[in-house]
Amino acid sequence: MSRRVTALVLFVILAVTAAWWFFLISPRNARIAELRDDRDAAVAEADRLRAAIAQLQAVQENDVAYLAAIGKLEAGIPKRAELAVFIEEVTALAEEVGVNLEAISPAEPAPVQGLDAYEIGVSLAMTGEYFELLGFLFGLDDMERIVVVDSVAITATSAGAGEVEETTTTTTVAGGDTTSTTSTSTTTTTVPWIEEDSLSIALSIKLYTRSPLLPILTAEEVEGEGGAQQEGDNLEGDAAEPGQGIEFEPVEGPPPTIGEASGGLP
Amino acid sequence: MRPINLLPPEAVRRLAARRKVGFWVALGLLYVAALVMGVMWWNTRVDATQEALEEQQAINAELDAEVNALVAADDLAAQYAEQVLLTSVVLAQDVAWGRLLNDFGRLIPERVWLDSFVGTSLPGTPGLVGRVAVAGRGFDFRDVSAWLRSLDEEQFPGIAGTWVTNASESGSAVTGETLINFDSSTGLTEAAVSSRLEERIPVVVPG
Repeated sequence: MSRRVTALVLFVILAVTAAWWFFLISPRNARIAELRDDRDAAVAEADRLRAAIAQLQAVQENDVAYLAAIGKLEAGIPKRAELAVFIEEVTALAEEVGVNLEAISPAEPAPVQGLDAYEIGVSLAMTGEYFELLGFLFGLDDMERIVVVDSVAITATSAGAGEVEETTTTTTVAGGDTTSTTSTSTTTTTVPWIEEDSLSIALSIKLYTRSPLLPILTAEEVEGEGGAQQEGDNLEGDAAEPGQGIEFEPVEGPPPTIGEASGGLP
Repeated sequence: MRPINLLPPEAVRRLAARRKVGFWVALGLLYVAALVMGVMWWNTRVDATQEALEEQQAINAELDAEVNALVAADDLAAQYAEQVLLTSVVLAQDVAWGRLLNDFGRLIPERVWLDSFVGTSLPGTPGLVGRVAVAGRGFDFRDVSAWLRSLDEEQFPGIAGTWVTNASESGSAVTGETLINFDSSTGLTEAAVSSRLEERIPVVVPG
């Protein structure tokens, strides 16, 4: 065989081998690599699922403890504003520690950015002594509901300026004489005196709740609620079952005038 | 003895050529067979890998089913996590005002007293959790200095950058003595944050 033919044959063998590799083997290798990646991902997913199962089983075994913990956390940030309860609690605390609560000004719940919660800003004005204020602040910390104190402003009450009576006794001894003269004078001075409730305290605090003051309904809920309200829904805005609530019978004829309407019971 | 080929030389050449062709054809066939075998071997590798993947997917499906069976626990855990997150965010920079005021009362110099105290928390301010501004009085300027020393960061953790913006003489309405009125402000650091976050979050699963 001539050298040219040998070279040609070798070239053909190389070309065919290269084509075999690139067109038949390479795609298979790629497929194997892809499948291995998928398997590795699946193995990792299995590990994650096993960990999740272990965790969930632990949760299931401790479900009572979880429920108690959720209850405790929900007491800190309740689902509803529960302003009445807060006012009662803060009044009781003030009475207990001895501060004189003068004003409570709660704002309406406002959404907290980035959180599924609403904050209620409350301003408290009170008078009291220093240690009473400390007791009040520690009491707020210990409340079941989370109360975050935003600012504390304390001023010594100078508005309670009063009069102080000062008695001066002067004894004069004249020379070697044994007689002495004693004179007593009483002067009245106006001073910015410190009353028993010596501090005027303004606290700005924040409470948190999970729902707004008025329910915000989605478009779907409004559509769903619309039917129920036509049936006669209650004022709370809760979803009512059709047929529940008060049903009004249609009244024929013109609407009554104010005089007629306020004419008392039929 | 020397072999004697009785075939004509053309026939011998043809036979040799045929053998050579046969050899090359056999070699070619072997080569092609090797290539085909190679493809088949790679196919088995692909199949084996595919099978391993399917096996793993079957295991995952079982695990998924197990997770789905624990959906109630999952809801419970999600509810707990949500509440914990909410509490953590709300109490992240909660200043312990009671403790702070108690420390103020303890560390304030003897000859200094305060007329007003305004403490404000500053959530979201890097390095600071709040500020305190006070208006106070002392008997002389040394008392103002004592006030600044008493709020030294080393002995009063949680306080940083105490400053007096103004200190001026004035007469006392009660005694007629000269007093020094001063205004001071200070920053509250992370050490002033309360420990309520740790106390408020109940740990239900040890570890």
